Formats: sequence, C-alpha cells, structure tokens
Amino acid sequence: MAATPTAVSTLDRPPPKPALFTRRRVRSAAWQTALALVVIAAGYFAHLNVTRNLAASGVAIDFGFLTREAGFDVSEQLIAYTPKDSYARVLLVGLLNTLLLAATTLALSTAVGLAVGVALTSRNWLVRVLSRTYVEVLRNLPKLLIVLALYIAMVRGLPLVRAAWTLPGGALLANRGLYLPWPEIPVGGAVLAAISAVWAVATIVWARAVRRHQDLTGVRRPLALPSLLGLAVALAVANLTGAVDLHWSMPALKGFNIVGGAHLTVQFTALWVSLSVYHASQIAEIVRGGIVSVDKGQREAAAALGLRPGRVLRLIVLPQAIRVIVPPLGNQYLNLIKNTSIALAVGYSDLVGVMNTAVNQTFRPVELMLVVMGVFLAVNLTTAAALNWFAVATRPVGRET
Amino acid sequence: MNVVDPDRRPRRPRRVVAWEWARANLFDGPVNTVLTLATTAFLVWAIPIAVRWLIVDAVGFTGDVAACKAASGACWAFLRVKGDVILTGTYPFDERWRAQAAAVVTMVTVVAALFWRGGFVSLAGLFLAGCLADLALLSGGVFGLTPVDATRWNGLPLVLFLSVFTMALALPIGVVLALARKSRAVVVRAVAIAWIEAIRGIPMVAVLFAGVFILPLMMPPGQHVSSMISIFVVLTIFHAAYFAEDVRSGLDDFDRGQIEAAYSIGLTHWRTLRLVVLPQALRTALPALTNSIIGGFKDTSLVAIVGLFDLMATSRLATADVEWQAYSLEANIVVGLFYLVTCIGVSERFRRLAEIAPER
Repeated sequence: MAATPTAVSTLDRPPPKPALFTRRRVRSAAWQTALALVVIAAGYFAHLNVTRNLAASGVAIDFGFLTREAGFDVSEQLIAYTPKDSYARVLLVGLLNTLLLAATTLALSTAVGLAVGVALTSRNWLVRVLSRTYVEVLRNLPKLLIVLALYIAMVRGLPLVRAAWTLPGGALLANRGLYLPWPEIPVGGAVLAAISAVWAVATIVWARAVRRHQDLTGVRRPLALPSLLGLAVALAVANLTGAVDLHWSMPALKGFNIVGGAHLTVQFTALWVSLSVYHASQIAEIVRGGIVSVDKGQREAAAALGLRPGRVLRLIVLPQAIRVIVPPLGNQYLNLIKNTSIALAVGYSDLVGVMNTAVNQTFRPVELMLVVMGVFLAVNLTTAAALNWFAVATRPVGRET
Repeated sequence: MNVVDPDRRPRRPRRVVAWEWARANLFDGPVNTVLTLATTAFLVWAIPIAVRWLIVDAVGFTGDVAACKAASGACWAFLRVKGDVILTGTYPFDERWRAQAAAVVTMVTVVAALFWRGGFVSLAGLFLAGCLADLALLSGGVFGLTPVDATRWNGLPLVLFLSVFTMALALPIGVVLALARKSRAVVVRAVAIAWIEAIRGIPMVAVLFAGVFILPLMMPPGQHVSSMISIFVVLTIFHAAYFAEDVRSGLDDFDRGQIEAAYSIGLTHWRTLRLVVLPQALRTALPALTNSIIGGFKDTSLVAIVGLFDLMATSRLATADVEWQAYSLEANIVVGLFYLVTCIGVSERFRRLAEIAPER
C-alpha cells in the first residue's frame, strides 16, 4: 500500500525541538529542588542535634578512640587478641568472627539445601514428604527462636567434658562445644602445597584431554577416579618417605580438658548449625524451583539417550537449573551474611556484638555504627559483585536470557 | 484402539492398589528402596522418642513442679503457671486483660485486612483504628485506664503491634519508594536508591541498634524519645526498603504499552498509576511481598536483642524462675507453634489472593 505524499512529508519533517522551559520541566525541577532542600535540611538538623547532644555529654565525633585500649575480652578470636589491644583490633577480631561464621554457614547451608532441594523433587513419596515438612517448619520459624532453642538445649542437655559424647568419625561433643578431628602438618607444609598445586594443574590438563577425546570420539574416559587416585598415591608416597607428615589430630580427654583436634565453642556450633538449617530450608526451595523449571522433555530425552538418573540430574538438569537458581541464591547468601548478626543473642563475639560492647563502654555510637555499617556494605557489595561474576560465568553459551 | 470406559473398568482389590502405589512411589528401583528403608528407620527411631517426650512421659497441664521434676518428659504444667508471663511479660498483673485485648485487636485487624473488600482508604482507616485502639489499651491514660510505661509492653501484644503496624505503614512508603526509584527526576531517584540500598546492605540488628543509639541523638536536645518509638520508626524505614524492592520487581515486568494506551485514552499521569500500573504491578509483586511480610513478622523477634521483650525474651523471663528453669524447650515449642500457624495461615491467604486476583 502506497502512502500518500502528504503523509510522507509529515513523517520526514524533523520533530520539533522541545522547548527548554516547558511547564512540565519547570515543575519537575522545582519539585526536585524542594526535595533536595528538605533532605539537606533534615541531614543538617540531624547532624546539628547529634553534635549538640554529644557535646552535652562532653564528647565530639572523633575516630581517635579506635587506637585506645579496648579493655574487654571476646568469646573467641582467630587472631591474637588480649583486652590490652586497641578498639580497632577488637573490631577486626569481630569482623573475622563474622566472616568465619558466614563462610562456614554458607558452605553447610548450601550442601544441606542442595540435598533437601533435590529430595523435594524425589520420586520417593516418603523422602518428598519428609523434606517438605522440614522446609515448611524451618521456613516459618523465626531464626532467633531456632538459634536460642538449640543454644539452650546444647548448654543444658550436653554432658560435661569428661563424659563427652563421641560422634561418628571421632568428633567429641560436650557442653563446652564441638571438638572435630583436624589435619595436622608438622613437617613438609611446602612440599604438600607443591603436591597440591601439581595435582590441581594435572587434573585440569587431564580434564581438558578427556573433554577433547570425548569431542573427537564420543568416548568418555574416567576423570574423577584417576585424579583422586593420583592424589592418594602422591600423598601416600610423601608420607611414607617422610617428606611430609600429614595426620589427623584426634580430640581426646586429657585431665580436665579435651586436647587435640579443632575446638568449636557452644556459641559458634549453635549458631553455625541453626543458621545453616534455617537457610538450608530457603535454599532447598530455590533449588527445587530451579529443578522444576527445567522442561520435563529434557529429562525424558536424556533418559531416552540412555543416561542414568544420577547423570541426568548432574549433566542435564542441574546445569540448566543453575541459571534459575543463581540469582535468588545470591540474595539468600547476602541475607545469610547479614543474619550472622544475631550472634549477639548467644554471646558470640561477632562484629555487631563487639560494636555493642564498645558502644556501652565508650558512648561513641555514631562512630562505631558508621564503621559497622561501612564494613557490612563493603562485605555485601563484594559478595554481590562475586555472585554477579558467577552468574555471568555460568550463563550457558548461545542462550538469550 | 481399545479404549476402556472408566466406569466399566473392573475394580481391583484395594490391597493391590496400595501395593502398586507403594511400588511406584517407594520401591521404584534400588536407590529408592534404600532411601525408603533409611527414612523409615529414621522415623521408627525418632517418632517413639518424640511421642514419649511429648505425651507418654509428660506432665499434663494440671500437674505441678514436683511432678515435673519427677517426670522425664515435657512439663506442660509450666505453661499453665507461666503462660501469663510468656504472653504479656511484665505488664502489670491486674491490667493484663488490656494487653491481651490489644493482642486480640491486632489479630482481628490483620484478619479483617486479609479479607478486606473495601478500597485502599478504608483499609488505611482500619489499620489506623486498630493502631489507636492498641495504643489506648496498652498505654492507658485515656478512658480512665491506668497509664502503663512502654517498657512494660511485652510479649505477644508487643510483637503483634510492632510487626503489623510498622509493615502496614511501610507498605505505602515502599510503593512510593519503588516509584521514586523508577522516576526520571534525578534527585528523587537518588534519594530512593540511597534509602533502599543503604538499608538492604546492613543487617536488621544493626538497623535496630541505630534506632536505639543514633535516633535519640538526632532529636533536639532535651527531647526524650522512648525506645519503643525509635524501634517503631526504624522498623518502618527497614520494611519500606524491602517492600520497595518487591514492588519494583512488579514494576519491572510491567508492559509499557499499557501506559501509552492509558495516556492515549486521556488518563492523567496519576490516574494511570493508580488505575492501570499499580493494581497489576502489585499483583505481580504479591509473592515477593508475601515473603517479605512473613520474613518481617518473624524478624520482629530480633527486637529482643536491643532490649525489648518479644516472645523469646518473655520465655526467658518465665524460665528465670529457679523452680521452672528447666522448661525453656516447652516455651520454645509453644512460641514456635504460634509462628508456624500464623506464618502458614497468612502466606496461604496471600497465595489465594494471588490466585483469585483476576487475570487479564
């Protein structure tokens, strides 16, 4: 259909240049200026009141106190710390405790959440019902309740150190905490590091060779078995020749205390386990959502090709589910990091707990809150960036989403 | 092809059906058989222990301390004796009915809101009425009620009051923030982004501490602000940021063509927003909002960390009595059941709302 000449000429004419001062623009600019003024005024008065109130109690905002002696002890520390150290150092101790709790909780909750998430989609009725019950109960309880219930149960219900329970694998559990077997390397740490590096490189090279071979011939050679076997042989040889001394330090009762192994306090164990099972219930639901988002036909096609159910899950379903899982999982991780701050409820010295004690001692809430908020923002932004990178990295090739 | 009429199909004996169901759902291959046996073993081990502790060896509601000390199971008599403390904490003993009534008022408000058929303005009126009734009951000083200090508002009425009314106030603020974040005006957008991202970047416990430590300092000198008000304010600020993100997810999915269509039939900017955009965007955002609301309700218990007495703190108060020290688990179970029932109930209702909302 041909357009009439007049229509063409109207279309060809360049659109009129918008006037610089339309009513709409002026109004918008006025509104924005007003809002900016209100915000600035509110900030100014808040700042003015804070300084006046602080001056009334004889202090001014000043970060100099951070170098002064803190004078209080913490429940546990990853770096050397005594009450004689500075406030800056005790805040660092708190931050490291927060990061330790976050990292271990992240690992455990992901493992449990993945397992429960797969269980939610199981064909086994009993497994499905049990995992559904777990998810529904844990998701609908406040995390503080779970933490406190477990903590009090542990403090009250666990035996004294001399009657500690022995768990499978040689770990000990008593009312002073959990004692785990821990690897010890008194001799040959450098050699061990070298072996690990060589092993990692060798595994990557072998994995590429396997992939190339599969691409060329369609035959898949074993990957995990030779890799692990190689590592075991290398470690055994190193241990036998005496180049490396790697053994497990087992916790054992000696006198009035348990020595050896790694000691996790009751506070840490209660927080770690309860936050992990709490977040695992949320992660499980995310994983389930990812799995069911994969088209059923994919599974059937894979089964028709002769893949076993485990491989269908690992090679076909999970790689596609990851795409759906990663964004909400990232949010969940950010929540998890923030949720470690309920550590204060059981007296674990995390960043917020240390801050609270410091505020009560120094009456410097503004400086300390600013430090803590800054640290949390930094940790969260770093994590978000890492998750973003991961989301981009796991995006399947040739998909437009 | 031989099609069997379902009505004419010969009925198979029930036992065969059960066996076939079990084969298909429990013993479907070696892996599933092992799983079934393992979970069954776990249940056979765990259920008797739970039943023994909860019922068989437990002391009933009418028992006493001596019976509880002698028994190896749960002590439900604890709840009879200490139920008041768990529910209302240190609220003056003779005035407890007011705290209980306040809790009931809040619950009625929530239920009424969940089944509300009126418009937005009347809904806001409902929440305002509920809030004022609660305040009158809890604080007293009006209608001849004895004044009660805010530090003694404990337990259930406190948790319900703080969670319900902060979130009711935060929801419209969150909608405004979400719209502001999408605004073309730079200043408006910057303020919204700063609010949302700063709050979402820090933990709720830190936000509550800011309410207790910083907010009172921001008041003009000599002006006292109770920690109840501070917590109310920071909780509202906190929830609004999360709601804003949920609403934004609804706005992001919104089809721009509808806005253009609304403009072209002559709707104003404001009416387009109110009649076209928000109803649909909020519906899309409903699942995310439900999650935030449930999460916000559960997290209100964190006020215990900054010294307000939520249900966990009043439970501790109840077990502070040496006689009844050993029964915190019973208190935890009851509080946990309360949260389970309310959270599941509310999320089910929201799920229904999302379903019955007309699809266009």
